[in-house]
Amino acid sequence: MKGLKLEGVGRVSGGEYDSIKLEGVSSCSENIKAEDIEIEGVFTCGGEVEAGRMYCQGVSDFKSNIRAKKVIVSGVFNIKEGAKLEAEEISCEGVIRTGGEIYADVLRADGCISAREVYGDNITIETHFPVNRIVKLFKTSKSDIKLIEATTIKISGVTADTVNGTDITIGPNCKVNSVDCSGTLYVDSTSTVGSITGNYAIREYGQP
Amino acid sequence: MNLISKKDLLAITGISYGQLYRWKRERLIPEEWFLKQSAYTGQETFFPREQILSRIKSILDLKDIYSLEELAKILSPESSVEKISVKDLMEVEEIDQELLEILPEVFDEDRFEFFEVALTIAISQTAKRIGLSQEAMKNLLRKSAAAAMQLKTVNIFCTVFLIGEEYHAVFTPNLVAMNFDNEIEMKEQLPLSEITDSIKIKYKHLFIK
Repeated sequence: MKGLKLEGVGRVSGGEYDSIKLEGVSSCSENIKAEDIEIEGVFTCGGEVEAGRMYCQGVSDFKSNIRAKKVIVSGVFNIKEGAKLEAEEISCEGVIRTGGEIYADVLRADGCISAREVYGDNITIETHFPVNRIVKLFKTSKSDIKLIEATTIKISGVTADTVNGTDITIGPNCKVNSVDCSGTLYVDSTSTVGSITGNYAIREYGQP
Repeated sequence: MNLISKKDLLAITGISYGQLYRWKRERLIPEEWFLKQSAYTGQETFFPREQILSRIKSILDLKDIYSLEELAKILSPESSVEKISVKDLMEVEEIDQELLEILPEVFDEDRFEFFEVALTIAISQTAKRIGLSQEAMKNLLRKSAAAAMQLKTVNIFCTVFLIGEEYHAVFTPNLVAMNFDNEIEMKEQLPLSEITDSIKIKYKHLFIK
């Protein structure tokens, strides 16, 4: 296998790599597979991506599915509607925007996530105020998700249609239409929640 | 199709959202089993009841013995499995030995794909359950092979019915209600995936690379 480093403007050929490091403006129209992918510039990818670790501190646009062990986003990660992002672990200090689905065992975001659906085990999305530099640049100040479904959910600064989970913490500045909870539930006084269903127990903030 | 809602599935099996989605991500549960439908609460996800309950039982039984990656190989219909010879298939007691001799003629090869083995088992088991003669069983396999091969996936349902004295089979991606006229008698409906889970586990040494 091979390593690839692009610093200027160029195209990435599809195929398998050990590592890919993209610092300029690059694109790829085929599927790529690599143990490690680092994006520091601008990257557009039409093919599917399979990676061990994926790190994006630039701006990337993906048209097809992404499957990785770990995804770290401190830049902007755009995924086309209908495509999926799947990872064991996702860490987001920047922006993830997708009209599709995100699957992660663990998702920790203090940036912004805009997605149709987010599924997983342990989902934490805390979009802070004031928002960070990257988030501000893209004029996104709240995470906006249609459906969040996970075992443990902790959100703040999130607008969501539906939140379903076992243990749910709805922190400050959230707006959620409906919650279904089967474990413990906390709702911050600054947040608004429409209907709440399920066999849940109300929990004080900070309690396990 | 007999469906179960996601909420009921989690309550009955005791698994968490996290486990369900991890297993989906690991391809242990096929994406096409997640059926989004409108419900009074909005959109809800349903599953084909028998298939998902059987699959989750298999995963729970095996998850402490195999890694998720190994389990995906065992359970995923897309997982690569070895082509298998008639000689090896003699070990598979779920196949009626009478069918083994016609397999090369039916599938036009000497080594068989897992899907072909699954179909042969389905026909064997159906024949046993509804009491088909050996000749009728062989004819049913001959007739149904071409139709099943067009779909070439184990995520299908096999429906066997009787017209006059002739048995026929139809293959559908989902379990569908079929309303026949009174000259056609439905004899059996079974998901191939239910067979494949248990067979792959039982004869792992034959099928898994």
